[in-house]
Amino acid sequence: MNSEYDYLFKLLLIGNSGVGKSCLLLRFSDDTYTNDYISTIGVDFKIKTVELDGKTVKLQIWDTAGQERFRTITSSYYRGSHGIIIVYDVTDQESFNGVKMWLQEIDRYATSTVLKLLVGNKCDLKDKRVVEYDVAKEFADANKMPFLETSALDSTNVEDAFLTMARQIKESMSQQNLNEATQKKDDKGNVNLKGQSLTNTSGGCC
Amino acid sequence: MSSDKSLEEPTNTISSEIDDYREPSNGSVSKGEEIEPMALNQREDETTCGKLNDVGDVTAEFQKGTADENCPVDFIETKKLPVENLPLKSAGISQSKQGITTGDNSSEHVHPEIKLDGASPGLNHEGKETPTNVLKQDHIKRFVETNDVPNTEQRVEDREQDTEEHDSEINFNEPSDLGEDIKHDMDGSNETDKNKDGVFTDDEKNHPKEQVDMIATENNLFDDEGLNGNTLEEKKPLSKKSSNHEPTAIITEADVPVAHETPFKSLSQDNNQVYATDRPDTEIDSNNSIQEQGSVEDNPITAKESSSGQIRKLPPIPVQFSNVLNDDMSKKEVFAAPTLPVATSPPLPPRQNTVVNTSPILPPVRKQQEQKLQTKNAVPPPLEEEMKSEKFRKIFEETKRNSNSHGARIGSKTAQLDSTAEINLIASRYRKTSHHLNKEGDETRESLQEGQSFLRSTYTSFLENLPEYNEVEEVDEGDREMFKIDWSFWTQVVNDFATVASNEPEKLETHVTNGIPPQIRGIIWQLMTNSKSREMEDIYETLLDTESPHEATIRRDLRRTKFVPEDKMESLFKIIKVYSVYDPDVGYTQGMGFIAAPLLINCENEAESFGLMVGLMKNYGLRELFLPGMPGLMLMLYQFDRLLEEHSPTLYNRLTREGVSSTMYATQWFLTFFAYKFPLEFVLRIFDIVFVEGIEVLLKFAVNLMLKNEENLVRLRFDELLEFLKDELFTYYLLANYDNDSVLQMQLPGGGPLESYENSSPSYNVDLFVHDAMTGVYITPLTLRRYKGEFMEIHELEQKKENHYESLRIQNHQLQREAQKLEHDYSLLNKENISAANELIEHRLNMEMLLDEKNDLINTITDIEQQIEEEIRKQNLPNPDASLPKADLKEDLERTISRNNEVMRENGQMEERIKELQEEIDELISINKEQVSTASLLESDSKGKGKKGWTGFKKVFK
Repeated sequence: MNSEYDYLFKLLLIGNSGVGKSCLLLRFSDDTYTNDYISTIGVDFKIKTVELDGKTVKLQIWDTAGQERFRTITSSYYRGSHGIIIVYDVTDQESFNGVKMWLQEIDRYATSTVLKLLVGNKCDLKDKRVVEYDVAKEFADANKMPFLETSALDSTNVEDAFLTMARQIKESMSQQNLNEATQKKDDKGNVNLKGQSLTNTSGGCC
Repeated sequence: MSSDKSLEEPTNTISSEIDDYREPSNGSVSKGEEIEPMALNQREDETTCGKLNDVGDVTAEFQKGTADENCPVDFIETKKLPVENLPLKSAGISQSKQGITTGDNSSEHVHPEIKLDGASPGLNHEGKETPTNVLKQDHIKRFVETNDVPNTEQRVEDREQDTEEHDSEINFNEPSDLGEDIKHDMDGSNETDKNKDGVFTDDEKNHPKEQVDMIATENNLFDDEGLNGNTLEEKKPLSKKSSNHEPTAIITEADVPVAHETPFKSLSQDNNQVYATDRPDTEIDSNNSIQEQGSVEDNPITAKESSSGQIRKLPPIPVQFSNVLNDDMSKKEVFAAPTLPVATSPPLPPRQNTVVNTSPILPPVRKQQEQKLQTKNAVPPPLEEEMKSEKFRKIFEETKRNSNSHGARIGSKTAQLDSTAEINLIASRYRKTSHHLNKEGDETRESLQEGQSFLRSTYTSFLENLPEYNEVEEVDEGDREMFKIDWSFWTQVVNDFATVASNEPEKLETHVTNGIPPQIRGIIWQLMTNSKSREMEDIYETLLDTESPHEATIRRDLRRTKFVPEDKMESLFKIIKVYSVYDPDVGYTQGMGFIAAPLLINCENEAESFGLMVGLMKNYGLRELFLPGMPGLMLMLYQFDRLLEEHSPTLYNRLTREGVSSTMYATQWFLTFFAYKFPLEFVLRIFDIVFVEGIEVLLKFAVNLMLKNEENLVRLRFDELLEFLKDELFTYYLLANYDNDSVLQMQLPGGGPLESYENSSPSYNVDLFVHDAMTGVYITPLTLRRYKGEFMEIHELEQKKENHYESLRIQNHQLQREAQKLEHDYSLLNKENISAANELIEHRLNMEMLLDEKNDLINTITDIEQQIEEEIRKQNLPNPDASLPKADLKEDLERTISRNNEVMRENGQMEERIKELQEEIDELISINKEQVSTASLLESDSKGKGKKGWTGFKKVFK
C-alpha cells in the first residue's frame, strides 16, 4: 500500500446544500459532469491520485451532505481531515453567508492545524453571479485561507483547487517535519547544555 | 419496562451465583476464543447456559417456576430436598459443566448420561466453554435486556436444518433443548432424580391435556405462546409414542425457553428427541452416544451424576426418537452446543411473559400449573435444584407475583400480542399501529374506518375486474404472477388486517415476503398503516396552499430524485412540501423524496400518498430518522452494527479494521429505504415488508446484504469497500443472464420513469433478495430494544462527554483568550518592566552620583558649617582675646601716651635746648664770625677754638 503513494491526504468538502460539492468532486475524480446529481445523503467518498512535485499523492476526498440536519453524521469526518474545502455558490448569497458558519464548524470539530480553502463554485454562471470575487477574496484573506473560483461545469480551476489544497498540506507537513526536526535539535542542544552544566558543576565540585 | 427490570434482577442474581460456582468450570472457559460468529453466539448461549445450569439456570428455572402461580407446594418442597443435596455441588458443578458442554453439542445430553454422550462433543464444550466465560458477561447483559437475541439466530439455523419441520416444531425443539439443558444442569447440580422425576411426572400428567390445549391455542399464540403451542404439537406425537408423558413435560420446559430464546429452539427439538430416546432407553441413548459417554466417563462428574440416571427414568420416550436424535445430534453438534446455553441464559423475564401467555391458554388449573412450570422452567429439574438457593426462592416468589399480575391479562388478546411483540416484528408493528389508533380521538377513528371501508370497496371492485386481468396475464406472461397470488388471503387481509396480523403473522409474513401484488399494493399499504382517512385528506388539502420555507430546497432536490416519472414530479413536490408544513420539526430532509416517490407511485392520489407518508413518519417512527440530530438514524446504525457484529464478527471486525463505519454507507439505506442506489424493484418489495413489520426490518435487509456479500467485502480494501458497499451490494442478486452493464444503466441517477424499471426487473432475483433477508436474518423487537437500551446508554454517555468536551472547549477558548490577553499584557508589562529597570539603573547611577555630590556637599556644608561655627565662635569668642589685651593696650597706651608725653616733653625740652643751642650756635656763629674775622687774623687761634665748639655740643646732648 505504501508503495502506491508517497502521501495520503484526507480532504473534506463542506458547504451548503446544492453548492456543487459533489459535482466538483465528480469533475475532479472522474472528469465528468451531471446536472442532476442525486443529493448526497450522509457522506460520499472518492479517491484520486495526483502527482505533486514528483511525489505521488493519494487524495481521499470525503463529500458531505450539505443540509444542516446531516451534521450529526458529517461532523465526525472533520477530525481526521488534513484539508477542508469550503464550497459556496457564487450565485447564491446565502451559501456565501454560510461560509462563516462552516468555519465555526471547522473550528469546533477539526484539528487546529487543519488547512482550509475557500472555493466559489459555479463561476460559469456569470449572469447570475451575486458574490463578487473581491468580496470573497477579502473574506478569505481575512480568514487566512486561499481562495479560488471554480466551475464544475466547465472545469475551471477544479483541479487547481484540489491541487492547491494538496500542495498546502504537503508544505505544511514538511514544515511540520522541519519544525519537529528543529525541535529535536533544540532538544539535543538542551541536553548538551545540561550535560555541560552538569560536568561544569561536577568539575567545580572536584 | 417493568418486565425488563424483573429480568435484570434475576440475571444479576444469576450472574452472582454463577460467579460462585464458576471456578470449577472456568478453567475450560478460556480455550475457545477463536470462534466464528455463529459459533460465538452459540457459545455465548452455551456459556450462559452452562452458568445458568450451574446456578443461574436453576434460578432461571425457578423464575419460570415462580411464574407458575399454581405451582404445587409439594413440588417446591421436592425441589428443596434436592437442594439439600447440595453438598455434592462440586461434583454437580463438574457435571453441570459437562451438561453444558453436552448441551452445546445438542439435546443428546438430556440426562446426565446423555450429557456423557454429549461429553464426546465435550471437546467442543471445552473449546466453547472458554468462550462462554468470556461471552457470559455479555450474554448475561444481553439476557437481562432481552433474552431473545441468541435464539433468533439459532432459530434461523434450526429452520435451515429442519426445513421439513414447521417453525412451530422448531420452537418446540428449542424449548425442549432448554429442558434438556435444564435437566443436565439439574444433574450437574446434583439435584436428585427425585426432583426431576417429580417434575416430570407432573409434567407427564399434565401433558396430555396440555398438549391438546396447546394445539388448540397454537394458532392464537403467534408469539412465545405460539412457540409453546408448536412445541406442544410436537410433543403430542412423542407422548403418543411414549407411554410416559415425560415428553410433554419436556415440551413445556422447552416452551419456556423458547419464548425467551428462540435460538435454542432448534436445539431443543433435537434435545427433545434425544430426551425422548433417552428416557425410554437410557441405555440405548448412551449407546448412541457412546463416544460422548466415553468422554463423559472421562469426567469424574459423570460418574457422580447418578441423578442423570434418574432423569433417564423420567423421560421414557420411544427409541425411534433416538434415531432422530442422532440425526439431530449431528446438527446439534454444529449448532446445538451454543444454543443450549443460550436458552438457559435468557431465562427470567421472557419466561415469565411466556408463562403468562401460556397460562391463559391452558384450561385446567392443573394443566396450567404444569404448563406454567414447564414453560417457566424451560429446564424443569433445575427449578428444584434452584429452589435450594435462597436467591432463587426469592426470585421465584417475585416471578410468582409477576405472573399473577400477568394473569389478569390472561386470555386477553393484547396480552398475547404483547408477548408476541417481544419476538415478532409483525406483531410488534401491529401493536404499535393499534396503539396509535387507540390514542386517536373518535372522529379520527371514524374517519379512519371510512377510509378503510373505502379501500375495501376499491379492493373489491379491483377483484371483480380481476378475472379479466388474470386472463390477460395468462396470455401475456403465462400467468406466472397471477396464479401465484393467493387472492383469498389478500381478501382476508383487506377485510380484517387486525385478525390476520395478530393470528397469522407468519402467514402474513410469507405472503408479504413474496410480494404484495402490485395492483393492490397501495391498498394493502394503507390498510396496514391505517393511514387513509378523510381527515388526513382534508389536512392535505388545507396545507397544500401553505408556503413552506423548504420549497426551494425541495425543488432542487427533486430534480435529483429517481423513480418518479416527469409528470408526477409536481405531485411529489406537493406531498413533500405539505409534509414539511405538516411536521415543521422535521420539515424537509434530504432523502424524503426517496420515501415519498414509491408511495406516490402506488397510490391513487397525492392525499393518499401523503397519508401513507405521515403514517410512516409518525406511526412507524421514521420521523425519528429525519429529526434534527437524526436520533433514530443513529440508533438504527448502532443496531445495525450490533446485528452485523452478531451475525458475522469476521465481517464486522474487518470493516472496523479498515476504518469503514456504517455511517459511510448505511445512512442512505435507512434514510431512503435503500432507494438511494437500489433499483425500484428492490425498493418496492422493501416497502412491502416495512409496512408489515416496521422500519426495523430495514436492518434485516441491511444485514442480509452484508452477509451475502461477505466474501467480497472481506477481500476488499478501504477504497473499494466503500464503493462496493454503496453501489454493488445488490448485484449479488443479479440474475445470471444479465451482465453488469445493464445494472449500471439501471443505476443511473435520476433514472427514467417507473415503467422502465419494472420492465428491467427480471434482471434481479428480488424474490430471493427478500426471502433471504426475511429468513436469513432473524431480528426480534426484544433484541432491538436491548440494543436500543445500549445505544441510549452509550449515547447518553457520549452526550455527556460531548457536553463536557464542549464546555471544556469553550472554557479552553476563554482561557486561551485570557492567556493571550495575559500574554499580551505580560509582554507589555515586560517592556515596561525593562524600561523601568533601565530607568531604575539610570536612577541608581544618578543616585550614586547624587549621593556622591550630596556627600561632597555635606562635606562642604560641614566645612562651611565648621567655618561658620568657627566664625560664629570666632565672632562669639573675641571677648577673651579683646578683654585681656585691652588692659595691656590701655596700659601700653597709657604708657605709650605717657611715654609719648614724656617723649613730647623731652622733645619740647629738646627743641627748647635746640633753640637754645641754635641761639647759642647763632651766637657762636656770630662770635665765630667775629672770631673768624679776628681768626683770620689769628687763624691758628680759630681752629682750636672750633674744636672746642663741637665738644660743647656733645656735652649738650649728653
